[in-house]
Amino acid sequence: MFLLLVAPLVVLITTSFAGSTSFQFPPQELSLQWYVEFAQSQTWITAVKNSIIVGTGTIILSTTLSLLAAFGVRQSDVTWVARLVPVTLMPLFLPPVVLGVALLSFFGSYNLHQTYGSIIVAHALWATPISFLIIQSVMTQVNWGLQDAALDLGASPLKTKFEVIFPQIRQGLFASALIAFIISLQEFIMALFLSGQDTRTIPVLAWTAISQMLDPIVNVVSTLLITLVVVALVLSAFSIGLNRLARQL
Amino acid sequence: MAQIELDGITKRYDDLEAVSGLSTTVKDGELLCLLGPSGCGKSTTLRMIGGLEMPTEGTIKLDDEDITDVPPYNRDTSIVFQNWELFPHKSVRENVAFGLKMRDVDADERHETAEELLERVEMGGYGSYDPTDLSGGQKQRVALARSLAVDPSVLLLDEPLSNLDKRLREQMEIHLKQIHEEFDKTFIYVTHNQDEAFTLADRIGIMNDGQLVQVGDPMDVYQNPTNRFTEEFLGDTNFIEGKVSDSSDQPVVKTGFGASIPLSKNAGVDSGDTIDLSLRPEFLALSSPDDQQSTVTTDGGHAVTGTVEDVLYQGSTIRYSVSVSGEPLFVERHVGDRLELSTGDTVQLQWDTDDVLLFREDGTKLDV
Repeated sequence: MFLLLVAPLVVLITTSFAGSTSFQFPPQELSLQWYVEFAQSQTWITAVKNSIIVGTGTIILSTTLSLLAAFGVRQSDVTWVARLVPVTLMPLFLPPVVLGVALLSFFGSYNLHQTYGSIIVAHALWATPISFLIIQSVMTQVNWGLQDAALDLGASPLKTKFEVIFPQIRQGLFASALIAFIISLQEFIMALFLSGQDTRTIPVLAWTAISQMLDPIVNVVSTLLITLVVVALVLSAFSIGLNRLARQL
Repeated sequence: MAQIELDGITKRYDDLEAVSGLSTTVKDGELLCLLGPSGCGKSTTLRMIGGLEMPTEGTIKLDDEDITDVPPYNRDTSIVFQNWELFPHKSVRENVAFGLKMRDVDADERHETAEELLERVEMGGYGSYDPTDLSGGQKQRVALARSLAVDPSVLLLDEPLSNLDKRLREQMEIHLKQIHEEFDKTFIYVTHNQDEAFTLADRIGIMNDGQLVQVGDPMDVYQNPTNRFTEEFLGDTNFIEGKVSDSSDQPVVKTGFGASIPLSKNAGVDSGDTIDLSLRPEFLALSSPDDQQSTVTTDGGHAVTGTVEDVLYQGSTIRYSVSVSGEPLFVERHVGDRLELSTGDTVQLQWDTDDVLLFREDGTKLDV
């Protein structure tokens, strides 16, 4: 079963080291020629840069929103607020095509499509529910008595958050940021609708490249993406504990 | 000057009233103990003084200034919490210096003050420790130093010793008393432990069910409880039910075993009223029965005969449960008294009428 799951990845990774243009498996000779070509391609470098910009933007937007929401839900004593929490998951159940079209017509009407901002908003739509859940879960482990102590010793509510609450949820914040980044990095459909020539992210460019002809650089990019995602997942798993992460996802 | 004045403070949660119209004044420099069973509202009262809870009604004044709506971070009070609430990701020194950091005191100065205070609470040299590596007693001292570092007018202590074992608690009681004298601050100390309250307090406030039942000097509260609750809470005592009987011109309280206590004419009781008598074990004299079977001794006291039902060894004391006409009474004696009584022995109990406290059915005290 596990072999079946990883088999396509093995093919992909090995062919990225192929010495010829053909998609042969196993490749006849191994070389790094496609890696070199990838590193020299301006289009690909731009796509990587775009993905990093969009990913970072997604981290900032989704983490900020999640933090505000989690504090808001905690401090609110209105009963229906807690019942609304599952509603935040809704964007995850909408088909990305629908979201993509909706966002395109929305941003299009303000002439904001094809901007980084529009893709960041789209990705945050997916990343926020998940990072909100992670942050809410780490917040249940927070010792709120420390907040009382800090307030009592003269720390303002904002300073209290920075001095005694954030240090307690640091790992959760880190994990939620990483996951937001991964979501943004791999998201394709909404990015396809909303990106333009200059704002193409890696998956969009990969799709464009493949739809014209089988470009071995895509294998290189895919390999790099997989490595990045695995590293990020391992990091976040270590930072909040595997069990908790598994329960959250 | 640091005087706290509470005026009718009430705290309500949904349909639960934690504190009901509490009013009192804590004098400058005194150590007031709020003593009561768990859930009586004493901690809520303390948190309201500290600003961590907002009273639903009533006002809190510090030196005639209304501080009811002042947030905790702008109040000149500091709380030592029951579980100390030391910041785990900061060193002991940073914990103690935290309040000064929030007041923008520069790093060198606040660390110097922190070290000084750590010395004062006998924790010198622990500055670089991680608070999670400290023992309960040490954490307690650090929490105390942290609160003292902000030099509050009023120090609020919320059962700070309840998580410590008995021996350590007794040490800390003495230490706290010294700190109180040295720093000359107003302390409000919340506890459910009577021994702690009597050791530490300048005055004791007894709380029950969200209300302040009685406030006064420890000895006065102990000797003259105005209320059945105070009598019951402050120490073990024997409650015996009696009935008012008005056969002669003077009303008397009659009990199940014949001992009766005369009441003054204007005691405000009617024939048939139920009165509870409190017979404190320390006022009961225990002896072997003599020939005299009368229930009234020559000096105006009472003597009754009973049977020893149970003997309980409690370390340095022995508790005897004596059944007198079916009513169980307990008496405590030092092991050193060598009474050598065992179950089934017949004994005589004696007490002075003056030592008996009487309470009306509503719990208020009846003056003889």
